[in-house]
Amino acid sequence: MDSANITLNQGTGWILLAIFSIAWIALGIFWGRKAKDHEGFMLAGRNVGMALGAATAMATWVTSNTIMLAPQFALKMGIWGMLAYSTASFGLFLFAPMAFRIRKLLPKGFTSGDFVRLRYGKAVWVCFLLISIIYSMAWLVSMAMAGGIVLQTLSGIDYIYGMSVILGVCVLYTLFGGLFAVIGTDFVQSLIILIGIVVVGAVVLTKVDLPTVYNDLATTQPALLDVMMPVALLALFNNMFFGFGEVFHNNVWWSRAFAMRGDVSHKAFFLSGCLWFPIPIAAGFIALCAGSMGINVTDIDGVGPLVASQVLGPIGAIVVFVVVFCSLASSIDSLLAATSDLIIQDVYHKMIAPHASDAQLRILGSRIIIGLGIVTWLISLPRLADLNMVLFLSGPLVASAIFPIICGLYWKKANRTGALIAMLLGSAIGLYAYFAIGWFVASLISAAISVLTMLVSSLLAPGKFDWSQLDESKLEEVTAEPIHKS
Amino acid sequence: MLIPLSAQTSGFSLRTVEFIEPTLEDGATAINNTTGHVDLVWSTQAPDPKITYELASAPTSEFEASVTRYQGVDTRSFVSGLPGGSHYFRVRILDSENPGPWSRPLEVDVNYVERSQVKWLMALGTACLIATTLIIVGGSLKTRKESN
Repeated sequence: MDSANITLNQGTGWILLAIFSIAWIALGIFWGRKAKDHEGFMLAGRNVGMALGAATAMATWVTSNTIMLAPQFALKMGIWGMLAYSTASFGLFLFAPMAFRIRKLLPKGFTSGDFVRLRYGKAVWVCFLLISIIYSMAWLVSMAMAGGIVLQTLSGIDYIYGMSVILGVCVLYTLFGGLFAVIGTDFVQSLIILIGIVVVGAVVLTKVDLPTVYNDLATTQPALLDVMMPVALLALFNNMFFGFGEVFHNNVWWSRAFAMRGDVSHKAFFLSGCLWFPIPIAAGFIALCAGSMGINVTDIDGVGPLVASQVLGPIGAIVVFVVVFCSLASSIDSLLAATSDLIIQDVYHKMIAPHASDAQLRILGSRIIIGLGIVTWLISLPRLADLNMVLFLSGPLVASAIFPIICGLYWKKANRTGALIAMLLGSAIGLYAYFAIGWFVASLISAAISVLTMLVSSLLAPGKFDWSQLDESKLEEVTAEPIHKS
Repeated sequence: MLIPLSAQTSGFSLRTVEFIEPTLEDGATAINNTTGHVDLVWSTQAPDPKITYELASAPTSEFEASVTRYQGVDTRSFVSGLPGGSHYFRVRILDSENPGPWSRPLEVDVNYVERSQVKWLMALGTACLIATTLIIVGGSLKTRKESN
């Protein structure tokens, strides 16, 4: 079967795009009215409950990458590939208890940068901000690219138009509503994603004969069934540590921990992990059926939507289109909001203008969201690399932050020199491994270097950190100095 | 595209297909691969979206036990799940009356990461996972205890 025969009518694609664009912007404006001040805009009043909390965490983690990279993983690495992608849910499971600790230590915290600055001081904080901003841009670009690719695959809408519309819509409603709009739309989007994935998975199962799929794989793609496939086994750990690094360090997750009520945050993250775990397996399985159904894969980035739309016909293509649009929007909006918060709070408010008013911060927040949208659009425009490469290049960077973060949260002995060396050395050696061995070991090696450095430094020069220094509301009573210098 | 007159009149070159991706490194006779998947792209001197192609693979250069991997109008195919060892690919124009000549075979040598290296890296991953879990779970239990 040729790849060219499966697209949705382009007019239908534009109509769907218009309907959902208008819906998200309208909902964003509606929910955004609740944001009365800067803290409301950033953290939704710190009063998000269980249902909204779990839904926003799940929807944010179901990115375009889940819909598009999980099938890629399955097609490249078989059974282990599907499971490897699912290990990213372990990050949410482990972040659940961390969220409880975060709320306890930083009751008035705003960003993950706040924690690093107060815990380790300025040098580690600057290094952390660089890592976080590079990663956030890689994630944003990979999702904007995915939006363009999937719209082109399913409906023939030109890559540049599709990518631009999705990015523009997300910028608009995040701009109007901040985290209130993001969490509200995430709730609707998570319901659509869950229903869509269940429907697509169930229909695919009725359309394919599992023994035939197995026999075809064994004949033409035997390595995909090999339980000892080297790349797949390594990808299992690599993806897990990449996921840990993404969740533990990124402000997308910390801002949700701060936004949720203290008594629900850990339960909401755990529940979101449970809801997320089967999604990459369902998405990956679809790709494994491609060979049996005689589908020729010409664009590995779009294999999941391609196969689903071929199996399910035009109605299926519409379902996939909507699910992908929701998964893209739910992640792009979160990332825009969280990255903008990080830049305003950590760079502008702490480094440049510590006495900036609420109104000034709110205006700047809007400008930064627009700026991030423009930079992402410009980088995504030429579609220079494949999704895998864009995203996994940032893997070693975020994996190097895993142990400085978790040791800093739980160990008094963790010290700033160790944290700095762990991030720098982990990133450098992980990036070297990326190019010298392959993407499938880079995050793993970075995490290993990071844990070793933290352990050795904590043993050789144990710190004696006073946890009360993390509660900035108490510190502000003593000093107006914005940068912690102890 | 301008096509030499000789090619247009003989009809032979027009029906010849060649792989254009992946490209061989200077002096190499085979594509060295560590992942077990390869993105094959081919072209003919007179591309036409209506031309049907046949892509075949085999474990030997003589194409004994050849398997047809694709028949259709696409000029690209992503092939995955290749076990370690040599794999040969060839492509031709296919029509019911007169199939074109096969392209020059493309050899792809799949050499996965050494098993011993995989075991070592998996042990490292297991150790890191245990460390991560112990720090978080142990620390959280302590936090709960303190809270109570």
